[in-house]
This record gives sequence, C-alpha cells and structure tokens, in this order.
Amino acid sequence: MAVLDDKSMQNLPREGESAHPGREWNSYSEPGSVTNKIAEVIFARTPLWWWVGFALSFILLLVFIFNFLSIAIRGTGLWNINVPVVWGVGIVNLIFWIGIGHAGTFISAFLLLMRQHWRGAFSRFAEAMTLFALATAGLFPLLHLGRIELFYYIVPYPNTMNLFTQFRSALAWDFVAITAYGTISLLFWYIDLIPDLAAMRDKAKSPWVKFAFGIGAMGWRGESRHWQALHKTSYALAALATPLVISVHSIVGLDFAIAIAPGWHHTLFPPFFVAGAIFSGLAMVIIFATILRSGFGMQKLITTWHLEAAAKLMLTAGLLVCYGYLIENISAYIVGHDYEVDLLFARLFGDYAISYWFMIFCNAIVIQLLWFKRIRTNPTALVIISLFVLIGMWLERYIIIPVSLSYPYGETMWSIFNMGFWDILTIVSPFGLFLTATFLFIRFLPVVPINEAQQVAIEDASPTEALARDSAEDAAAAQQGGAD
Amino acid sequence: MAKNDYCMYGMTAEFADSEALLEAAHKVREAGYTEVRAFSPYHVDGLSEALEEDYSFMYWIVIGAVILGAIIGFGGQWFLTVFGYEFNIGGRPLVTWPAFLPITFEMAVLTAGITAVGLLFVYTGLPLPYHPIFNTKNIETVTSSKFFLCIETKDKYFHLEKTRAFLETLEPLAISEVPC
Repeated sequence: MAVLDDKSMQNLPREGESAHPGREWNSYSEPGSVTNKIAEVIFARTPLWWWVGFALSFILLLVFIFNFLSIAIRGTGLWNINVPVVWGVGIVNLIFWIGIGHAGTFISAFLLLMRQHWRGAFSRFAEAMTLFALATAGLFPLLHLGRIELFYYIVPYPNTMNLFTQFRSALAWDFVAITAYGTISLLFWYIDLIPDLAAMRDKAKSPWVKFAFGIGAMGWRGESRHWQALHKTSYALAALATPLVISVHSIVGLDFAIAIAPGWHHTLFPPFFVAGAIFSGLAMVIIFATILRSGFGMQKLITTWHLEAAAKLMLTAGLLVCYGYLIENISAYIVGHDYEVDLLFARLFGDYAISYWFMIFCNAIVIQLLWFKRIRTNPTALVIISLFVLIGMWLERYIIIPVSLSYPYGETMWSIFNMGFWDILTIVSPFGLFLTATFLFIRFLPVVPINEAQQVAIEDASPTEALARDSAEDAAAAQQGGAD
Repeated sequence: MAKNDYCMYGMTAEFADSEALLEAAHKVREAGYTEVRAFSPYHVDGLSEALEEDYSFMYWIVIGAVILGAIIGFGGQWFLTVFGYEFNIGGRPLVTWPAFLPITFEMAVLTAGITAVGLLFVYTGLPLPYHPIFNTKNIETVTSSKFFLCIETKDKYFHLEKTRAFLETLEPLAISEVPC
C-alpha cells in the first residue's frame, strides 16, 4: 500500500506533470477496468492494420524459411565470407538479435527489483519480445556451424567416440548462456502470465476460447496463498535474471575479447556489449509500444509518460555506448600496437568509413535529440529515432565483426568483405520470424500485465483521492473550529 | 440428490475492494477461524500476512539450488576435463578454473530458476483444473473485479448459522454456500 508521507508531499507534481506513474493510470482506478480494456482488445474484431502487418511479416517469414533452408542445404559458401572474414552477417545477426532481447529482461527483472512500478506498461510485451528475439538469434549459430545436423556436439553427452565439449571455448559458453537465458525468460514470462490468462478465461464467451485460456491458466483461482507464492517467485527470478542478462551479453562480448585479434582483444567488450544490447532493445520496445498504443487505443495504459521514461533510459544506455566508442578508439591509439592503429585508421578513414560514420551518426548524434522533452513525449519522433538506433546498433556489430576481421595480423591476409545477395537476405528476412511471432502475441495474449497494472492503478490512485478527502475534511474542520 | 449426500466446501463472502477484504481477513482470524482462504484479482499487500501464510522458506531452497547448480556446473566441467576427455595443450594444466566460471554461473542460475518455478507449482498445487471454490456464485469475477473470503467447513469453529451470522457482520456484498 502506498503511503503518503512527508517526502511524497514535497514531491507533488508540477502543473501538467505527473510525479507518479500510478496517477497516469487514474482512468483505471476501478477494479476490473484494466481487465475490461484488455478483454476488449482480445475479443474484439481483428483490426485491419493487424491483418496488413501480419500478412507482410508472414511473407517475410516464408522468405526467411527459404533463406535458412538454402544456407543449411547448400552451405555457408552462399554468404560472401572469405578467409580472414570468416564471421559474416550470421554472427552479426546473432549478436544483434540477442541484444534486442536484453531490454525485455532488463525491464521485467531489473526494474522489478528497483520497484519501478511503471515498468508494468511494458514488461509483458518486452519479455515476449525477448523470447522471440532469442528464438531468432538462436538460429544463426546453427547456420554458422555449417553442418546443422551436428549441432548437438556442443552438448556434453556420453558418446561412443569418448569426445567431450571443450569448456574453454566461447562456443560452449554461448550455448549454455543462451539456453539458460531462454529458459529463465520463458519461465518468468509464463508464471506472470498465468493470472492474466485466468482473467481472460473468465471473460471469454465462446467455450473453445474459454477452454484454450483455461489450459494456459492451469486452474488459477486467485488464492492469496498463490498470489504470495507467485509474487515471491517473481522476485526470486528477477534477482536471478538480472545478473543473468548481464552475463549473457558479457559472454557474447568475451567471444571476441578472448580472441587474439586486432579490434577484438579489449577488456572493454563485456560492459560495452551489455550497454549496446539494452540500448537497441529499448529502441525496439519503444517502436512496439507506440504501435500497440495507437493500434489498440491504449494511450491511457501505455502513456506518453511511460514512453518518456523509456526514452530517458535509451538515452542513458546510448551515452554509455558512445563512451564505449570513445574508449575503444582511444585505447587502440594509446596501446600503439601497429596492427591496432592500422585497424583504427582503416575503420575511421578506410574502406568501411561510411558504415563507421553512419553508425556514429545514428548512435551518437541522433540520440542527442532525446535531451528535449518535446521530442521525448512525441511518439512519432521516438519511433524515427528508435529506427535509427536499430540501424546504428546493427552497424556497430558489423563494424566489430567483419571490419575487424578484415585486418588480421599480417598484411598479406587483409581482405575486404562485400555483402552479396544472400548476405542482404540474411539481414532482412529474420525480421519475418520475429514480427510474425510478435503480431500473433499482441493479438491473442494480454499485452500488459493486467493484475500488476490494476494493483498499481488502484493503490497509487488512492493517495490522490485520500489527499483530496483529507484536505476537504481539514477545511471542514477548520470552518467548524472557526465557527466555534 | 439425497439430503445426506450434500457436501459443502465452505461459505464465502464477496467484497467490492481490497481494503474490505483485508479488514475481513483480520477479523476472521481474530474470531479464531483457521481454515480461511482469500481470493483476489491481484496481489493484495498484507493479505497473506493477515492469514498467516508464509512462503519465505522458498528463498532458502533457491539459495540451496544456486549452490547445487554451481557445484554441478563446476564439478561437471572439472570431471569431464580431468577424466572424460584429457586434452593436453602444451603441458598446460587440465583444470583451468577461470575458463570454467561462465558455465558454472549459468548452471547455478538455471538450476535455481527451474527450482523456484518447480516449487511454485508444487506449493500451489497447480495445474488443478477443478476446485470446489469454482462453484461459488459470481466467482468468475474474482479474476477481474471482486474479492472473496472463504471459511472452509473443515474449520473446527465452522457452524452453518453462526458462521453466516459472523460473515454478515463483515458487511459483504453477498454470502454464498459452496458445494463441493
């Protein structure tokens, strides 16, 4: 229960400003109002924009299936990778998509531990985004292996060859980290979904829909004992997932940092990767939040206040990433190692200079607009900035991987990587898988954690009412006192 | 149905908001009832405490699982590199413990997470498709807008008339008998 103490009295909002996210949800302070809003979205007729978006995503998904099977059957030679540049867009995509997933866990776990109640507006679909992004990301190491049918060699299992996994290899670390992350995210997402599925079960009219939601709800009956257990389990999982999310992208960063290659062998990489992951993930969250709120009329549930908060987080993560660029270049220069300096100049002024400076434009210059409140509260501007951030963050991974690999030790090996048809298809088509899953999710499942938003809306709305009531009583008492 | 076959699970009172339910929960406990269940559309702070329900032991089990997972992770790698597949790289030691830490950490978190969720299902008894409380009138509103309190018949103070009279004093919206 929120308590109105002296401190919060002093922090009363200025005019036209909301000091507390709960007050943003004032229109939902009646019990059941959030449930009704979500039920309205799920049980209403499918809007036209959904069909258009879903159709386009599904076509792209078919292209992705074609692309995936072609590379799986005909081999990685279809990509334009060459001998120094053996890690092409496949690995770039892996890191890009895992990064997209990070914001989901960051919002649902880290902000839960920090008791930032406003995260309720985002947490469910951000967490779903994590799952879909991880599913997409997980396919690229498989493609990259070249021989998909032998991927299980990464798992240490007793076999007749007496071979076991090389645990000092980043490949084994990645495998364990990504599967652990996927599992924990799925569990976290699902247990929080159970009460909301039960709410939809009880709102559904058709027996089949009721049955489907009922299966997912597992017979949830809202008992206080169960709520307590769910609540405490969520906190336990959040406490586990917060270091996990940081470890996963750190391990991905270590894939590079433990390799003795110019441009890769930096201790900076793990934190730099984590900041970049959260940065790009928040960009994706903002894009989806904007689509959801205007598409389903949820402006009062996912308010501009929430978008602004996410934009501030994105700016913070972005500035950390910019700091990373600065340190990366300065340390390469200070180390003064010939090949490091060669790579530095090649990056800044060589064949890949256009990608580098466009990345700087997207990730360091465009985001400066977020300092202005008018930009932060304008959803269209936020979507455009977020698209720039996504492009910039993809380019960042491109600069780290193929560009660094182009300049290994020994000039005779230097070789430039040019993208071909299959490389470009591999960049574009995975969005099909991600978007198809996301469109299905936003249509059929509760996109906002109903119970959490409802609790915050009711409990945070009451102090305002209590304040109004108290001041009315005080005024009445003063009047009476004056009369006496 | 013959009269003797009538089976009753409990008696429920319906409330409009969480404050009323919380107050009712306190009063029911003060009156000495122990087999009491509260139902709400969202987590109500203090409700479980009022009914003396405690799930904090879970944290200790999860901490135990973290330790167990770390032992499995590190021990597994140690065992497999020393006995499973000895791989001599220029005479370097077999047990290179810093390189084992990422997998140790991931295994610890994974084990603890699965334990926490497994324990949640064991403790709540879910999935459970049927429960007598679903026979309560209006119970479908418990997941959206209404709050319920149920005194089970197995409570030693349960009495058809007296319990009803007691529930009346809590000023609920409605009282209903729940068959099982």
